[in-house]
Amino acid sequence: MFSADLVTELEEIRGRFPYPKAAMVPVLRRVQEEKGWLDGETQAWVAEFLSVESIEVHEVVSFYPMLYGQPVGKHVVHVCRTLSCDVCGGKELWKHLEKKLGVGRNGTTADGRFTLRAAECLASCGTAPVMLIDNERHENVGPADADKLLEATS
Amino acid sequence: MKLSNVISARFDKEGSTKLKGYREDGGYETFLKVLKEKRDPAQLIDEVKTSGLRGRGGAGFSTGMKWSFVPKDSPKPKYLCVNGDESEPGTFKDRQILEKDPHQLLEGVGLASYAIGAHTAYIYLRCEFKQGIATVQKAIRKAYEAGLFGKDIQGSGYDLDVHLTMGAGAYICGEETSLLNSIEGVRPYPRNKPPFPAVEGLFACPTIVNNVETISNIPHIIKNGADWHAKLGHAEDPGSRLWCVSGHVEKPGVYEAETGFKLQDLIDGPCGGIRGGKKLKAIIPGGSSSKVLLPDEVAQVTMDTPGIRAMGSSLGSAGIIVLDETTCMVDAVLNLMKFYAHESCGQCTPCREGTPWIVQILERIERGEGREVDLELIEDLASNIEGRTVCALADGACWPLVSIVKKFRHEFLAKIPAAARKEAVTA
Amino acid sequence: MIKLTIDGQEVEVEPGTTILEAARTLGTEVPHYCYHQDIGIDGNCRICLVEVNGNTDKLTISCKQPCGEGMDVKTESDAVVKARKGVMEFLLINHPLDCTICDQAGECPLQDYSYHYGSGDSRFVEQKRNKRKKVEFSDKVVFDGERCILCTRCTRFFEEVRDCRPIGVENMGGKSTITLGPNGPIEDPYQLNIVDICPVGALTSQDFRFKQRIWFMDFAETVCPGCAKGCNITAGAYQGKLLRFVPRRNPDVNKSWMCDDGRLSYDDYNITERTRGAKVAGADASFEEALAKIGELVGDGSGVAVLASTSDTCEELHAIRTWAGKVGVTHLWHGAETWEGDDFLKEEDATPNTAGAQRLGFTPVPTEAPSLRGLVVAGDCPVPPALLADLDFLVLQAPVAGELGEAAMVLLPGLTRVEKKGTWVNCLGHAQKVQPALEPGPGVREDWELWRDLAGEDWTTLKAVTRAMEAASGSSSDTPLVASES
Repeated sequence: MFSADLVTELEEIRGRFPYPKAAMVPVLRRVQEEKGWLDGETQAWVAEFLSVESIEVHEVVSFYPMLYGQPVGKHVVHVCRTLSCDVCGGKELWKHLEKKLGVGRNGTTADGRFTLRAAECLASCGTAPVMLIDNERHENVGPADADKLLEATS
Repeated sequence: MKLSNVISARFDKEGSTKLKGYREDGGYETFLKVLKEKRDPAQLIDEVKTSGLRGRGGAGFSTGMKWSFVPKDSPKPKYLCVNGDESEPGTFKDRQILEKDPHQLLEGVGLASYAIGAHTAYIYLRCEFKQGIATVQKAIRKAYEAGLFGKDIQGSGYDLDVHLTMGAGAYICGEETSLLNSIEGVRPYPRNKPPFPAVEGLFACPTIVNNVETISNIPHIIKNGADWHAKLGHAEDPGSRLWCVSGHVEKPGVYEAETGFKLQDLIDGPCGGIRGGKKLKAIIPGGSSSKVLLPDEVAQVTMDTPGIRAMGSSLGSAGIIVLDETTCMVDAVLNLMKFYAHESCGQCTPCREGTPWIVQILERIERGEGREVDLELIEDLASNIEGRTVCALADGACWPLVSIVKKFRHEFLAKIPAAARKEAVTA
Repeated sequence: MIKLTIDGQEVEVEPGTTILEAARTLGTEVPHYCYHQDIGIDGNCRICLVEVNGNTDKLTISCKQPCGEGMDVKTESDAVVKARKGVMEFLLINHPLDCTICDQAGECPLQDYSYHYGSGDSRFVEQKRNKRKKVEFSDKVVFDGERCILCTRCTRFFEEVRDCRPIGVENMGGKSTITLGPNGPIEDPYQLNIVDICPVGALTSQDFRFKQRIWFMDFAETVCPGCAKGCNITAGAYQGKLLRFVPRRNPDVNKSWMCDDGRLSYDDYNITERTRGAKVAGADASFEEALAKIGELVGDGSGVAVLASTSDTCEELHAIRTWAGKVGVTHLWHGAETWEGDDFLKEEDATPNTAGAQRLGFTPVPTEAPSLRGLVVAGDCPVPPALLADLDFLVLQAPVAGELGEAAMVLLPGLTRVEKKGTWVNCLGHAQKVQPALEPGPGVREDWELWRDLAGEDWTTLKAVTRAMEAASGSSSDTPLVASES
């Protein structure tokens, strides 16, 4: 399912722990980077890789907001919705992106390019509002900045 | 208002993340000296205890005391876990350390591991810290290459492996036992205590979980001595902390200062006052999970544990959220309650069921369908949540909630239709 | 020993005893949902909170907290009762309150505790949360996400008792729900136990679903007749028909569990046609005539064997061997029935009293049985065809005669396994009391009475048989034949 290089990398991660299962989250994140989202087949692969039952992978995937158990667009946009961002332009940024992308929360654009998601506090409250595009942090993002950022994301 | 620069001293230096620069500034000397002299770990723990250092993650427990709970005679391996899941709303200090001075943290990891007898340390970072993860990962690699970690470090006979691991966007993982479950690869539910992690933690072995900033203090304390640290700032809660100021100030950001300063001075001085010359309405001083302070309280409060306790709040993670007069407090508290309801892990009943219920009530008030009795209901529900759950997440939800409902009751009443007010209902 | 005070009463307990367990020794049952004696402690439901040393800010979960020396515990203080009411309210706001159509009604702790700690009127005026309903976890178990209170007893049962993970918890916070794993329906042959331990009506048995309100049913505390393990059960019947077996806790035998095969075997005993009254040579006869005929056929007992069922009680077997001894029948054999056993509870021996039969001197049918003149089959058991080969006569006493009945010179009725009263000895050597769950109806006598009459004994009660058996066999504590009174 994955390249030999990636498997080697995953094995290194697994080797950091006395039990393979403990590599669950870092392995899932790495595999998600590769696949975009964690479909059933991928979760089953991870289960075998970590010597656990598939349900154990599902329990973890379905828990964490940053592990995607459902398909997402090519790029995932997270906008922080928590208080400091919210009172410093976060609301406006969110509304702008909803309108611009034509989708609501967790929606994916018709062309499959962007999924818009709300994130809880991203620990960048001093540079609010904050958003992530594919896990890359962007600070002090006004609506015009957001437009530029999206355009620059192919 | 005097700022300090213990933790942040190297933040703005060029190449601050590089091992070379860190060593030129005397980095790792303390760690290597401790190893070379084969310092007595118990004595290091005493040093940290005497320094008065309190955990910087939020609970503010004595770090040295925590370390001393690790059983000396346990045949099991011991672990150090560094909590870098920074996600308390209003808090963004650990990220600065990770991104700007990772070796300071790693030297602390070395010293803390040695003190508690751990030969494996995990640095747990939230996955959204892309830059922080890359920086720390590289720093770990460089430290290994320089023989600072690994087997028989510099011929000392001491082995230490340092690994990075990560969470995936769940606030609960910042709770130390939830973090342990997260590392173990199971659903990251907080554990009932006792047993405490120091006795039975990661993989059921003795474990110390410390915050990134806490651990970053250790090299300074061991280098300069407990007395040096004990004299920084307020005598009962000494030290130099990273204070995160966000919200409606002219210059938000992370400011390092010794404890004991006046909050008002930080806002008016380094932070440049309230944005746009507006008036202050409220400050949540210790990350969102602390009780709100009104302007007259802000004017008096000193930023140290006794000082803030006197005002009925807490320092928490030092995330200072400043709200000006334009802020609707019903909106603000609804925003926070949505956060807690979303981040409730769902394990135990009062938090799982109570936090979304409170959101529903607040939303109804927002829609203009509130009743005055809802305000009493909220307080009563909070009393059935606080102190009744597995972990402190729910307590942290109740503190801003109840304090805001109490102190800003008029703003809630203003959204409640006249017919649903008590006078109207009882008339 | 640790000394502490619970609700003002002093109590001494072993170190490690939890507050909840200690309270039990005083007869105080602290309410609980997620705690279950036979699976690990989780501490998630929070209804068992108690006050320790006057700390009302933070209450303590009694299910997990070990007793400490000098602790002052209050299980009904104002703070505790308020917290408990709070938990009840939280559990009920999103619960559908569909008790009128819920199978759990009548044996539901959620109902019971809400009677004590619930509020008459609801403070919840919001929209209830919707979750998945009527999810088939297998052809045996159905799940209702809205009734579920997420105590996780079910997932922990599989994980800790069965070492498998067919179901789990998915999502986070208020959206959390129990879910079937990606590998499809639950296959574990002990899965119906999760229906029992579910403290609400979230998990129901496809078999028992909507069959009967439990308050209309009759219950017998007895022993599963399915195999030699003798899992303790409560058999539930309605109007003379068995509707279910559920396990009854016995820490030494089955804890709180039983296998699905044993559980679902109840319907085997709902027989519609059975032998009523006696027959001699195919014609109706009185019991006296039938018994007289047996005496005549057996004669001095030479060349005659008794083949007794290992589902007969020890008392029945004692009556049989007493008669056999008197008339000189020396071949005392017992039957055998098997099914597929496993390494948990289910035994390969599919009868409940082989150990008792052997203690009473019955032996397996020899591989090379001597040629027989006559065979007396006592109770419901398969008869090896070889035994029937050159018989002059066959006596058959069984609830259902079947084909063999045609060949029987004397045919007597009998009780099914669920109609018997007496003692079975399980494969672990425990003598266990068996209680009738059904009445056999007209034309059927107690088996032991038939054999008593044949033996000419004057035992008027079952108790008298028991005493005689004890006297004759020297039932000892090592090899008991009689269930101890508990």
